[in-house]
Amino acid sequence: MVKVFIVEDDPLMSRMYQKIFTFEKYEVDMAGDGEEALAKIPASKPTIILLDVMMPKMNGLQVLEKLKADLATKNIPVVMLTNLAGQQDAETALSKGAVKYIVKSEHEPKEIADMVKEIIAGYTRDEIPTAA
Amino acid sequence: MNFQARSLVRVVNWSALVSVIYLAFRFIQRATPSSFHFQMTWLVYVYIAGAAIIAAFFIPLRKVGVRNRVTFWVAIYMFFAFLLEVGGAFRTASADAHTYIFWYYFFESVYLLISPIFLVLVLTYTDRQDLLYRPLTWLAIFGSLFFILPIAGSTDLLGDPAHAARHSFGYASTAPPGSANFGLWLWSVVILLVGIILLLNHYKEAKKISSKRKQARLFLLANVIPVAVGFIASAILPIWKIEVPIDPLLALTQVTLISYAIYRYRLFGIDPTALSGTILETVNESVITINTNNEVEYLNMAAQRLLHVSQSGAKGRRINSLFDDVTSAAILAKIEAPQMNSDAEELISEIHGKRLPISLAVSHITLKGITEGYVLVLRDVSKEHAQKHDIERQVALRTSELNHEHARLQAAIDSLDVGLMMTFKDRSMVSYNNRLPKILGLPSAALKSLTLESVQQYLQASQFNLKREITACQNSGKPFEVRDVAYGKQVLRIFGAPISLGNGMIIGTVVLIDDITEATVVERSKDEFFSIASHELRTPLTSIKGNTSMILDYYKDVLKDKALKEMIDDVHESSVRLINIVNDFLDVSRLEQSKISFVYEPVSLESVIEGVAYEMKAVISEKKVYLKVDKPTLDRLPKVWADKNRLKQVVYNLIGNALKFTEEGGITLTAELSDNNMVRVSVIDTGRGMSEDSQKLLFHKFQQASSSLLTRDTTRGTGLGLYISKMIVENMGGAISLVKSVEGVGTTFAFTVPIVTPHQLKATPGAPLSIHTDPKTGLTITKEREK
Repeated sequence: MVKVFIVEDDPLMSRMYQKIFTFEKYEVDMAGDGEEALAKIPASKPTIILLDVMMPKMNGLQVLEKLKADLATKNIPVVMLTNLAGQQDAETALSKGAVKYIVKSEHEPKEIADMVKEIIAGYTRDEIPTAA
Repeated sequence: MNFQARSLVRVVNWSALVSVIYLAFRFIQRATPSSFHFQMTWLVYVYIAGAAIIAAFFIPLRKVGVRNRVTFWVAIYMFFAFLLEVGGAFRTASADAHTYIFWYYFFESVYLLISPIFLVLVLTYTDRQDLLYRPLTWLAIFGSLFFILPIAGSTDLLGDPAHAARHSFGYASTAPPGSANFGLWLWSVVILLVGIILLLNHYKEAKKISSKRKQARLFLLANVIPVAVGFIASAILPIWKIEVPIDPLLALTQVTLISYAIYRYRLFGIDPTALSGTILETVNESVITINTNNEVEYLNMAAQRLLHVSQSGAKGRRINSLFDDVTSAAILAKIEAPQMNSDAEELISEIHGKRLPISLAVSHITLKGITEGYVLVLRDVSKEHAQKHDIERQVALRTSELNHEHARLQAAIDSLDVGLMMTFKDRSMVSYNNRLPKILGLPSAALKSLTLESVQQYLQASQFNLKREITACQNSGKPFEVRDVAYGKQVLRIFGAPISLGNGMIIGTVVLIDDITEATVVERSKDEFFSIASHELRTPLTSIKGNTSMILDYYKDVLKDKALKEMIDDVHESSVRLINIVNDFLDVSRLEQSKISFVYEPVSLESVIEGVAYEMKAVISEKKVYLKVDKPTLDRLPKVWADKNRLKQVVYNLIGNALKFTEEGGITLTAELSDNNMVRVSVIDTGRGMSEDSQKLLFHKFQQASSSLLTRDTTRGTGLGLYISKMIVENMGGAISLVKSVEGVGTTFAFTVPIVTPHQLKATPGAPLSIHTDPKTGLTITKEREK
């Protein structure tokens, strides 16, 4: 089963994403901040990670760097979740190995699920992650 | 010259006159009928001819028509020369000794007088009359006569007349040959030699005026010839007992030469006094000369006009009878003043009942140190006074105007809420208003001599080089403005402009320094509030939107109740609209703060427009309007230099707007090359159009093209779309405008965007970062409606 790992500090958002991916028949794992995410991800072994940029303790960019530096996690595709103001950081994230960024407010949950589906389809087709 | 000397001269003059009268009286006494016993010889005729010729010379003398001292003395001299000729004629014609002796006396008397007369003439001619007033001159003349005559001894005039008669009538003379006339002759020679010396001096002085010189030369000749010839005839020839009666010829020669000199050169007219007299007549100043008795001698025309008197009416009157007491006192004070020329003094004089301001100057006329009279120069200065008064009034007026102007300016700049400073090219000191030192916190000690240098020192801490800005401003003539200059805890805005004269010359600068600390804080917190509020709003809104959309998607079977579904729909619709509003606000705020960085790259307009058209397809078909894109033209256009997503946002906005107001017909998109290497994109709709009033409000912040706040169409969004589009287009170096709008017919908007230059194309290394961006991120209202 495909597992989506959502890193999001705002429970309103994380619950919403949890719901849509559950509705879409994905296995969902979650973390409320960067440190928690880094702790959980190696064990969780998700297919894809949705990573919020602005978070307490450790922000998304720092988490991304750690993930890409770790051999165990470096091949997991990462999609950045951001708000409009974080667009700049999100673009930086692309250069650091994220495959895509999504401005949260601009997409319905269903659209996000579709985007994730497309990415996973691409990865499963090629079997080779292109990130980094 | 003192009083005693003058009296002595008078005594000598009078005694000379008395002696002449006495001699004449003696002649008349002696002139008995027996004195006229003549016999004619040829020599008599020579004398008579000489007398006639001399008499004839009076005619040219008269013709010259100049009457002055020189011509007077020439006339006197000529008369005596005439008498000499006559005396000579009678003496020569005497038939007996008695007659001879009488005429001998007569002749010798005239001869005795003619030399001094000639000397006086020369003195007058050479303008050395002053010598006549010297007792020494007369003493020399007569003294030498008395000294010489005894040497002449037994001869002539003072000798025995009988002896003289014997000499002529065959009596043997005891005197040696040639001594007969020698003494008298020697005396006259001495006198004539004095004349020669005078004339020689005069001749040298007259060098500048050639005709005067020539005349003087003739005079000199007239003096030298009698001396030289007389010396030969009277002193040398008698040694060989040759007696030539040359006297009549010599007198004749003298008279002829002098008459010729006068007639030929007429230069006695250029008597300096006479000449200055003519000048005096024409000057505007009143000139009055008075003698030492304070009696008027002369008034020029101006003086006659001023005093309303004629020359003849005033001559001889005492000066104080012509003026009022004040003026007379002033004149007398100046006359008695020791200095010869006093400075002009202004006083108010009452002349014929009129009070006039006059200026008065007095000079002493002196002749060789003796004051002979005074020259008064008076000038009516009432006109000058009036002018001066007028000028003074004007100056006072202008000064007062200037003071007012200065006060107004000072008040104006002091009342300014900003610090004002003026610098000047020609000095280091600056002018400033009250506010400046307060803003900059300058200590009062520094204010006494505030220079640009010292102001710069205070600003040093802020890393702002005011001096450099001012120099640049003065050189370029362009104003400068620097915002956000950190000055300690303050934030300053500094504005400078050149002070230029009408001709473009720049004389300094005006610098305005504004403390914008508070404004900056307020603005910053406003922006922050705006930004934070927008962000914070978005998360809950996203949650509302996402959850409602999920309810609508995944709980369709639960939402059997139509009213419930409608309510969920409306909640979703509201959240969408709210997010759009927040998005617009955020866009505006970030564009205004320049927080959006534009990612430039060569962009194909075709792909942008096609992309937008594709995404809007659904909405457009729903509304039953058409969207035409001029694809062949788009294909041919070159790429533009722009931020692709922002460009898309503009196209979205324009099409979205057009769509909003179009119910029938449709929207046409065209693109063409325009001037200045630009591509011009036009969005033409067949919508309802706008009134002229509405058109004016376009492109302004928060201005929906609607006439009133109450009637604005709230379903149409914030009205920020065009404002945002304008900022984006201008940021990319283009322009956006309403081409035309006719109510009921349609509206055309157009914007331009620059064509990519070869240089930019080269500078773009491969694919820019934004190539990864999902085209859908440039979200707009229309897109949201797709759902």
